[in-house]
Parts: sequence; structure tokens; C-alpha cells
Amino acid sequence: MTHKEQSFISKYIFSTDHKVIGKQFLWMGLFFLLLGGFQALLIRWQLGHPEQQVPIWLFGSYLFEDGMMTSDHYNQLITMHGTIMIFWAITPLLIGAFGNFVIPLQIGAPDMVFPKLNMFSFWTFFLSGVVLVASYFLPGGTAAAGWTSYPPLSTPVGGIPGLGQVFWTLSITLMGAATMMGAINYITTIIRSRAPGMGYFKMPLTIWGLFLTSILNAIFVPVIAAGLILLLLDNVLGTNFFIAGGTASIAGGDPLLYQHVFWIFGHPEVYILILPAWGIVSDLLSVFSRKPAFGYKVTAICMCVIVALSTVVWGHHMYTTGMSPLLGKAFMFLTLLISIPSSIFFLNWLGTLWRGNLKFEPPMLFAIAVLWVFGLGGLTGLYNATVTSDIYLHDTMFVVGHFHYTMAASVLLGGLAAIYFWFPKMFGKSMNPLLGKLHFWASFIPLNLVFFNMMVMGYAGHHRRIFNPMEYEFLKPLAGLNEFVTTMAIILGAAQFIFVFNFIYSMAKGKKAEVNPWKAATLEWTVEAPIPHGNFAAVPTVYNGPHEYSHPGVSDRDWIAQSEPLPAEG
Amino acid sequence: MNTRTLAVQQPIEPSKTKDEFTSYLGLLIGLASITMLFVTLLISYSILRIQAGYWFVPGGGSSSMSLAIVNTMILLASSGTWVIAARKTRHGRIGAFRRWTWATVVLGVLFLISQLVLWQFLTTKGFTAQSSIVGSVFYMLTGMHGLHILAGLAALVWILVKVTQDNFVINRDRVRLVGVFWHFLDVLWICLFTAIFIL
Amino acid sequence: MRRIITRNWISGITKKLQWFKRGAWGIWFIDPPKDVSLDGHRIDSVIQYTDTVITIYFGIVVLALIYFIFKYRTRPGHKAVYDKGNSKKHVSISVVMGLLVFFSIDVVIESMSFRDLKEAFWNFPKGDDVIRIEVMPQQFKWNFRYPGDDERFGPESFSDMNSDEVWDEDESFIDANGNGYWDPSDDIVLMSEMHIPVNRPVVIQIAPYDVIHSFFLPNFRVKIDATPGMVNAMWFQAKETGVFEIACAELCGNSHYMMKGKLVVESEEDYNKWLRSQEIEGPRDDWYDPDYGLFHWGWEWKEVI
Repeated sequence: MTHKEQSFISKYIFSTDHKVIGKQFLWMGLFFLLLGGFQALLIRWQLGHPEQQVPIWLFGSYLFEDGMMTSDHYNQLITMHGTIMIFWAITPLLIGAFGNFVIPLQIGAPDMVFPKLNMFSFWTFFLSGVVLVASYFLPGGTAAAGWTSYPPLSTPVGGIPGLGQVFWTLSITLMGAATMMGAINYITTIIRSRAPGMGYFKMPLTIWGLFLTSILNAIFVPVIAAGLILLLLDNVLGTNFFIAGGTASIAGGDPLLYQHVFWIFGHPEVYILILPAWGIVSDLLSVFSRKPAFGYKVTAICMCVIVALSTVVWGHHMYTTGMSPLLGKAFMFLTLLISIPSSIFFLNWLGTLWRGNLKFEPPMLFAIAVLWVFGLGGLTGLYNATVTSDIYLHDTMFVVGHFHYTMAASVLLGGLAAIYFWFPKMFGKSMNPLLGKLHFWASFIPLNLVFFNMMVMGYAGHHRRIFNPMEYEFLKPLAGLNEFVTTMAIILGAAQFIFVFNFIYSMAKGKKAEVNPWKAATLEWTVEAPIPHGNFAAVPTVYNGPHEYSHPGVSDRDWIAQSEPLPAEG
Repeated sequence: MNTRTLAVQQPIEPSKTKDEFTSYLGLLIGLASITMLFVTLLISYSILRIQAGYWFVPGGGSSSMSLAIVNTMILLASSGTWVIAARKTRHGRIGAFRRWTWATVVLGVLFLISQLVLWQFLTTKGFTAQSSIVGSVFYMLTGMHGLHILAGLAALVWILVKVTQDNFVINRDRVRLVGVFWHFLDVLWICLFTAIFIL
Repeated sequence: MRRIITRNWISGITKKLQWFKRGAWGIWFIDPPKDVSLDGHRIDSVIQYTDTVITIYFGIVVLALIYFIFKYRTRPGHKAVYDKGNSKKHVSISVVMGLLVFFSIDVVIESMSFRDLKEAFWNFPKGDDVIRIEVMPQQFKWNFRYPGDDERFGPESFSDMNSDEVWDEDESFIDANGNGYWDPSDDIVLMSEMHIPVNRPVVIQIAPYDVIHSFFLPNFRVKIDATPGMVNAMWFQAKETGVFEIACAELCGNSHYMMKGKLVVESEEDYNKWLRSQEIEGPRDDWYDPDYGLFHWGWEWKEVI
């Protein structure tokens, strides 16, 4: 049975094909990534050169009167930068684009189990992006209470003018709805549509990452939705869920309740953001070391343990709120426990490289970089997990450096690794490897210099979300470092043009890619791009695990596909 | 094995690999998400109530509770009519199915209207979302539930539309799924009612 | 005794390894603001210990990475070893190394932290030499309130009082139990500048007027959030005199970045002289205005900790 002829609209706009939807998420994610990155440059400009005009190449005179940023602009920038990067850049790139594109292909399924739901999920997400961008055009400006949006600052009591907060809340709620729809699809597809022979422990680790992410999404995104609904009612209906003290019009509200609800979602959210990258890196290290992922089962189990533990550690974001000592100690203990499975699967990454045959293609460079930045970022989490060191470091640039290492650096480098890796399969063309390597070094070095120095600044006491650090005497010595970080950030931003150029040029004029340029063993490399609707001609049968590289029984090459039976013994 | 030949043959249809348990699993995950939403709202309610130290039944009197009990009865009745409707599909009695489903929809709409009447009644007594934390919690919980009932009504209407479109053939899986959702909303209301009026 | 020896040994090694750490990072390192507090060194020690052990472990990882990149790079004739790493030996090595990391860093810093919380940060001082100050941050300044001669802060709530009682400055109040009198007019309320004497414990209680703020003393390494509806407490003690900064460490609006205060640590006599001069200036006229919300501090001292 063939498909009826599809119009352009149903094939590319309202498509139900997971590959098209994956690409739609990719475009949205890349757009918002660039927007968020631009905002980061504006923020860095202000911190590096306070009291100076924003320059012409950052569109200073268009954006600000006389090119001078004001503190309310600054607060709007930091809010929107964080919000956009987390929900509109990382989520659609790692979870929306790669989740959609890769999951059915890697498990041998023809599509997601709910293709129409998939389509709704994208368009709901698109709508959420429209609402968010619309808030830029509001007369009062966008939300400006930080991406964490603590009340009462984010309620009318806080004095932030206009509807920015309302639009912000609505857009996140819509995005949450899209995420929940996606989670339903991913979980059900992975559970129900795996090809025969693909047991849970024969799935690529990418699928494990996406599976666990989706479970966390399904459970915890509704939690933030609930909190945001209460916040919305405080903003719009005059309720007092989170308003207390002298400015409350009716008794009963509790700002701390919001913080608990937010971080009960917020901590699993950071794991949601990084799990796909963990899975992808585990697989990529294996492909480019030409040997199986070291300790596959242990890694998968460690990821599950981390997911379970992540649900009970949210209090470590709230150590300075005056919580009871016992509660503080309990959260500290549980948070520190996460070190054990994290160290184990990190060591497994090193084990994959050990005694391998390492090929340094761009995806591999980025994957090894993830090892580096996640190692550093994860270790620096220890300072924040411990109550006493957190008393000093909370709300300083140290935390900013820490989470940029773990979220921005690790996830972004993982995402770039994924783009370089799957580009030939998504677009049937090859990206230029030399430009890829150049992009890598031009990004990796400044990235470290930016975020490591943020941790240095935080240790020196530089607290966060401040428009002009030079107001404080004790921060005046950090002016030079702030300027240096800004310069590095500008270089980092400029380096991305190499990637954008490589991407667009390769899509348009790139060399046609072979079916399996990386000689990878997973199922998506057995079909030729452009992949037809329905993916596989016949349901593949899976015989092997996903990382059968350098198998001693296979003599003519160093890999064998999952759907190819191993040669008979003898 | 030459991978190039695979793409030439006919690709498999996605719908062929989906069975009834798959759709059911998807619905269950969705219901788990909605449950987490209301669990968070209810936990927030509990915390606000414990910290407030002083609470009262919305509207203060027994008349509001009576109205709420009437609403509950309407919703329970709508679950009942749906059970009957679902049973009609067993013997392919499509006409009866459609009638009983319409009865469910009507009762569902009646429930919503009745909730609005309750709101109106309480508002005239001075019990609003802005008058006390009790009011804020009450209107928030009932409002959120009402929005989900709207979604449930949309699902019921959709089934009726689909039955007409499919030449009056009933897809029993769809019927079962919509039923699970509708009963879920009913059970959810009972939990909310208990939390608001009884506890 | 053993614990003290171990603690000294750890901090001794930590100090020696500081130079190694600075060199190892290869990147310059900026010291935190001068620590003038009694207990700030505990936080510095935890941070330095963590620094040291992390440097060692991450250093090993980096060396291993560099070694692997060179030894196992692809070249003609080089093959990978097919090893799934799931043998008992490999799994146990991974698990043991993970536990090693946990016990050498996590458990140590956790016990250091527990000990410091118990001995210092949650161990609120009691007694007569404790200075009590109430802090009320608002958008965008700090308000400080000292009890006057009567050693008591102003009334808990104006709503309990008759308005003529409130307005009559000469009247003094009998409290609810009919005990003695207290005179709220002698409380000293200041903006943005806080004075404390050196070498005496200072306990503060803090609640904000409007949104969440956070009272951060970089030179003392401590901070505490001020959340509407809650009264939080914190204590600290200065070892040296000087003028230090107070920063707000929670985003509170457009002028959050300007919300700094001044902490003046002076000798006992200078402090008393200062306090006397504030009192001589006399009671504030607008203190008793029940409509002026800013002075509804809303709580008397909470005898909790």
C-alpha cells in the first residue's frame, strides 16, 4: 500500500514523520540557541565593560537608547537567556530533534507510535516559542525575575512592569505541554516498538538516555506546570499563593512553597537536559574507539540510579533559605551520594577509550570534550552540595560557572557531537571535517577560559545577577578578569560562525555521504538517506548489541551491524 | 548483506505495528502526568492549609457543600451512562452507543454548568479567589479540574464524530481509552471534593 | 583528640598543596575577600580541601586522557581490544574507584561540614554578651534595628494597641502580662549602615519588607536569605575592626546590584559611643505612625534558637 500523494504542507509543515518533525525541532533549537547566545554576549559585554555603550556589532544603538543598557534590560537579558537556553535551545535540540530523529531508527521502528501526537507536540512547542518571542514586543519588556522567577519578585509585589511575566509563564506552560506529549511518545515507542531481538540491554545508550529523560519529563514537568499555574494566578487574579508578609493582601501565602515546587522540578530538569548527552557520548566514544562501550550494563544501571536519586535532592538549591539543620544534612547526604554512580559511569567512559583504536573525527573530539567538561563540572558540584561551602558560594558566579560547565558545555558539546555524527544520515551529505575540527578547538579553548574563570570569580565573592559589579569595592579587583571573560566569550561566539557556515554549505553543496560513513553498528546506519517514510523495508531482526566493534569473530572489518548475525564459529 | 537493496522494497506502514496495549500505555503515561499535576496542587494546598492554621469549608455553610454534592452526583451519573454506552459496543449496538454517549456529554456539560452555579453562589456570598487563601485554593482546584473536564468532553465528542466518519463502525479500543480518561476525571473530582469539603 | 590531629593533618597537607594546585591549574587564582570572622576559616578549609582532592583526581583523569589519546590513536596496524568491560574484575574496579572518590572527597567534606554546622554555624551563642540586631531588607536598601536601653525591640504588632496610647510618647507600655514596661521609642533604626563591636557574637534576625533578599557578608563567608513571611536567624563574630561591605545575594529587582550596605566593626568603646550618639538623637517621630508600613517590623525578637 503506498501513501497517497502528499502536498507540500502535509509533507513538510504538518508532517507526522518523525524525521521531518525532528528536523523542525532542530531548526527551532538552532534559532533559539543563536538568540540565547547573542543575549549571552550582551550580558558579558555589560559585565566586562560596565558603563560603556553596547557596540554597533552587538546592535547596541538599535536595542538600547544611546546604546546604553540599563539594569532592567540587564535583568530581562539574564532571565531570557537562561529561559531560552534551557527550554528553547537544549530541550528541542537534544530531546526534540535527536529524540525524534534517532529513536525509531535506532530501535528498528517505522515511526513513533503516535505520529499525530508528535506533530501536535511540535506545533504546540512552536506556539510556545511565538508567545515567548512576543514578550519582547511588550511595552513593559519581558520577564525579568531570573529564569527561576522567584515570587514575590515575579508577582505584582516585585514591581516588574507589564505582562512580561505572564507571557513567560504561559510560554513555559505551553512548552511543558509539548514536552509531556513528547515524553508519552518516546516512552511508549521505546517500550513497544523495539525490533525483535532488541532487548533493553541491546538498545544503544543514546536510547537509554532519551528513555530516562522522557520518564523524568513525564513525571516532573507537570510539577512545574502546577507551580507556574499558581504563579500565574498570583499575577493575573490577585491571589496570594506565594505572597506573604507585609505586602500580602490576604494571609496564607508562602514564597518558599514556590521554591520547593520549582526545585522539585528543577533538579530532575538538569538531569533531563544532560541524560541524552550522556547516552550519546557513551555511544560515540564506542564508535570512534572501535570497541564496545565499557561496562554497558553498569552504565545503564548507574544512569537509572542517578535518575532515582535526582528526585530527592532538590533542597541543595535552598540551603540558605533557613531550612532546618536536619533537612539540610539529609539533602547534603543524598546529593553527595550521586557521586558514586556518576564516578562509575565516568570511569566507564575512560574504559571505552582504553585499549581502543581512537579515530579523531569531529564527533569524537566533541565527545572527548564532554568527558573533560562534565568531569570538571560534576566535580565542582561538590562545593555546592556541601552546606558549609555552599553558604559562601550560593548565588555567586561559582554556581554560574558550575552549571554552565555541566549544562551548557557538556550538553552543548554533546549536541554538537550529535549534529556532526548524524548530519550524514539526516541530510545525506557530509560536513567538512577540517572545518569541524577548527570549530572544535576554536570553541573548546575559549569555553574553558570563560566558565572556569567564572568559578574563580565566584570564589572571590562575585555574586550573581548584578548589573554593575563595580558598585562594590570588594569586586573592583575583578574588573580585569570580567573583561577577559568577555573577550573569550566573544571569541567563543565568533567560532560558532565556522559551524553555521559548515552546516549550511554542506547542506547545500556538500559531498554526498555514504550510507555508513562512520562504520557504526546501530540500525540507523543500515538505511540510505533520504530515508523513506516507514524507515525500514522490513522489520529488522536484531542479533547483536549496539557496540560490536573489533569483534574477534569478524575478520574482514572492525564492525558488524546489530541486524547482521555474527559469522558462524569455526 | 548489501544495505543498499533495503531501501528499494516497500517500507512498512507505521500503523501496522501499533496494538491496543500501546495506545493504552500512552494514555496511562498521560494520566500519570495529569496525576502529578494535581498531586502537586494538592500538596501545595496541604502545606498552605497547615501553615494557615485556620481553615473553613468554602462558603462557610452547608449549602455550598450540598451544591457540590449535587455536582458530584451528576459527574458520577455521567460515568454511569458511559459504562452503559461502552457495554452497548459489545454487541455492536451503535445507535444505543451514540445515545448513551450523548447522555454522558450532556451530563458532563451539566456538571460544568453546575460548577459555575456553585462559583456564582459562592461569589455572591463574598467568597472569591481574592478574599482568602481558602478561596484561592478552591477556585484554583475546581478551575483546573473543569479545564480537564473540557478536554474529556472534547474526547467524547471526538469519538462520536469518528463513529460517524468511520461509517458507524466502532473502534472498541478507542472507546475503552476514552472511558478510562473519563472515569479518571471522575475519580479525580472525588479526591478533590474530599480534600476541599470533607477533610 | 584523634579527630583534632586528623583535622590539623588535613589542613596542613591542604595548605602545602595550595601551591601545587595553583600551578596545576595553570590559571591564576584570586583569593576571596579577607576573612575577618571567627568561623569563616572553616568554610575556606572545606573549599581548599575540595580543591586539592579534585585537582588530584581530575589531574589523574587528564593524564590518563592524554596518555590514551597518544597510545591508542588510530594508526596502521593498530587494533582495538574487544573488551566489554563487564567482567567481574572490571566492574569491581569501576565500583571500587567510584567508592574511593566518594570516601576520599564526599565523606570527608560531609563530616567537615556536619562538624562545622554543629560547632559553629548552627550553634547560636547565648548569654549576655550577644549583640542582637534585626535586619529588614527592602527594595533597595537595608534597614537595621537595635534594641534600646530596655534591651527589647518594638512591639510585635500595632494592631493590639489603642491609637492614643501609640501616639503619646510619654506613655510607656505595660506588656500583655502586666510586666514592667518597655519603650519602643528607644529602638535605633538605621538604613544601610550596621555597626558591631569586635570580638562579640552578633545574632541577627532577618525578614524582608517586600520580596526575597539575601544578606551576604563576603568578609565573613556567610549569607542568609530573607523570605517574606519568615524570620530567619544567623550569627557571626568579627575578629578584626574595619569597614566591610554587605551585599544582597538574591535578585530583588532593578536596583539589586546597588543594594549594598556598610558593616562597621569597631572597638567596644567606639561601638558604645556610637550607640549612645544614636540614642541621644532621640526617638523618631514617625516611629509610631501605624500607617507607615515600613516600621511594622512585625516581630519582636524570636526566642527560638
